[in-house]
Formats: sequence, C-alpha cells, structure tokens
Amino acid sequence: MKDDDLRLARELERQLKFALEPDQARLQRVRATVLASYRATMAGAPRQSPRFFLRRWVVAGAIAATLVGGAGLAAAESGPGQPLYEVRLAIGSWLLPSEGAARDRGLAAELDDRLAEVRAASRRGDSGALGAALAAYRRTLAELTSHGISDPTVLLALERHRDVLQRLVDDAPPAAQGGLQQALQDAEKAAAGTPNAAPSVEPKATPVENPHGSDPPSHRP
Amino acid sequence: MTERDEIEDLVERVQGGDPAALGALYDRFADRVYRFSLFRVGNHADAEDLTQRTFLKMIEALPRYQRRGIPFEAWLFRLARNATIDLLRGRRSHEPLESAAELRSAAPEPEAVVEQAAELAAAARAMEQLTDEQREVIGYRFAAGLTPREIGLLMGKREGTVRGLQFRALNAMRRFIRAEDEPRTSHEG
Repeated sequence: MKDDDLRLARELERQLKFALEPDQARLQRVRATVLASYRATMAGAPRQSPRFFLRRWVVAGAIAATLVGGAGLAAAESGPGQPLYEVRLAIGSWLLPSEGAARDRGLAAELDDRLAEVRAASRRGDSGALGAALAAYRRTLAELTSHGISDPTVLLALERHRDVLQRLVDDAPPAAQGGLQQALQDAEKAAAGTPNAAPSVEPKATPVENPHGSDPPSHRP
Repeated sequence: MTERDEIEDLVERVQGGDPAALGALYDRFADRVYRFSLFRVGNHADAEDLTQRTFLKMIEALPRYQRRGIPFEAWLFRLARNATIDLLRGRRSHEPLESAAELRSAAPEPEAVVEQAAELAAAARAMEQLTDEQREVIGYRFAAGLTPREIGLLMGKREGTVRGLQFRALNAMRRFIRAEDEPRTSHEG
C-alpha cells in the first residue's frame, strides 16, 4: 500500500471507530436475549430456536395437508392479505403449548413473526398485507398480555417491538399511521407490563390506506 | 493456543451446549458485528436488531457449522451480511454513514468531537462515490476489522480481488476528498 493510501486507511479506521461506537446498553440487552434463547434451546424448551419453529411449521403444514389436502400446504406459505393467512395463523395457534411460560414464549415468537410481516408489508407499500399483519399482531399481543408478563426475555422483546414500531410510525406516510400508531400504543403498554384489552376493532385485516399513496404493484401470485 | 484455535474451541463448546462459551464468543464478536451493522444501516436501533438476529441465527446454524477451512469470523459475518441484506431489501441500498456522524454530533460535545464528526461527514460523502462492492469491502475491512482473506471468503472473491477493490476505493475516496478540499484551500489562500 502506498503511503497516501496507508494514511487514508488509518484515518478511515480512526473515524469509523469513532462513529460506529457500539451502544453498550444495547449490546448487553442483546446478550441477555441471545443467552436466554440458547439456554432454552439447550433445555429443549419450546420456542427460542428458529429451527424449532421451522420444524413446527413443517408439522403444521403436514397437519393442514392431512386435513384439507393441498390447501393446507398453501396455507402454511400464505402471507398476510392472502386468503389462507388466517388459516395459517390458526394452525400456528393450535401448535402452541397450552399454558404457562412455554405458551408465552410461543406467543412472543408468533409476535416476532407478525412484526416481521408488518415491516415487510410497510416496506413494500402493500396496504392489504399491512392491515392484515397489524390486525394479527394486535390480536396476538392482546393474548400474550392478557394475564400479565413476567418473563424478562419476553419483556425485552416487547421493548424492541416498541422501538421498531416507533420507527415505522416515524417513517410511514400519514395514510398508514393510524394502524401502526394503534399497534405502537399496544406495544408500549405491553412493554410497560400493562395488559392490553383485546382490540376493540376486530382484526379483520382491514387494508390500511395505501401507505405510499399510489397503487403498489402486487407482489402476490 | 492461537487465537484461531481459541475461537474454534469456543465454537465446539457452544455446539456442545456450554452457555459460558456462548457468552465468551458473543463478547468476542458482538462489538464488531454491531459496528458492521451500524455501518450498513446508520442507526442504533436497527444495528441492535441486526446484531440480535445474527447471533440468534448463529445459534440456529451452529450445529451445521464445520471448520472446513472457513474461519468462524467469515462464517459469522456472512450471517450478519445476510441479515443486513434482508433488512435493507426494499430500503435504500445503503443508509449513509453520515447518519452515524449525525448521531455522534447531535449532542453538544467538545469542539474536537464536533470537528471529528465533520471529518466523518466528509468521509461519508466520499464513501457515497464508491460502488456497492467497494463500500462493502471498506465496511468489512475498517468497520468489522476483517482481513482481506476473510472478506474474500465472505464475498466469494479472491484475496487479490478484495485488495484491488480496497485499493480502488481508497483511491477514489482520496481523489474526492482532495477535490472537496481544493476550492476551500484556494479560497482561504
């Protein structure tokens, strides 16, 4: 490397080190979540391992296929806004542990999946999918918080949800803010340990007005 | 025991179910994964999210990890890279480093820090001139601290190609920074 390049490389390294200083509180939060997840996986507890859920979905798909033939597999792959999305959620719900901390963690995992769908739909500007995913999110959150949450891992996850939803609200155009704002309020209450009532407006997957103000191209088959 | 052996030993212990080893592995790499994520997304909330996703994915995938000549670092940063790609899909391809500069200069801070933030903003503008590949190499090299060999394994390129990308990136940045400085210098002079 030439002297000039070496100087610039060193300078760049110094500047990046300064700019990209990690937030230690965040790193510690992630550490707690990762270790809790690992311990639960090693203990064979339901949830924590995404692989566990992959297996679970394979089981769910198989059950659904047995019940309703090919439509079951289609349900297992249905995204929000698609006809079999609610079937998929129902299958997921059947497969959760019936009670206790294991069910809470299962619900928290479901909630993670719903939040990922909300983010994806918001990014695509797919109002139908966003409405469906937000409705499912609020419904799952209400169930999770109905009897209070004491599991610190779940509470940490909810804090993260609150932050993610806040960013989505900040970035969303006005048309998409109503539904996101409701979900944010629910997540704020949940993170503070306050039970959420079941959503008064039934989560009928009401399409959010097109978040981007024009008809987005459909990403659905 | 070399550093590489220590890491592989930790990996084996994590594969065997040792939480203390996972803690040690996390402490060893979390900082760099976070920096790399922050470099790519430009805000701390997403960087936290990406760091968590990377390590959860690591737990999931670790049973299938085998050394096979691929250093653990390269394997881990491939997970981080994939997590970032998933997050950025549909967003701008790169949230400029300038966001990080703003974060650092938002609070009233001593003059030196403000000056440093200004320099960083200049570096960020220079980085905007780079191709995606060049910028990625700069991120891996200077934000994540990977070696050109590890970057090559990660990006599926030869070490020499990575060095070439780094060389051209630094050249382009230097030209840009000089061009930005020249009018100011001649005006001042």
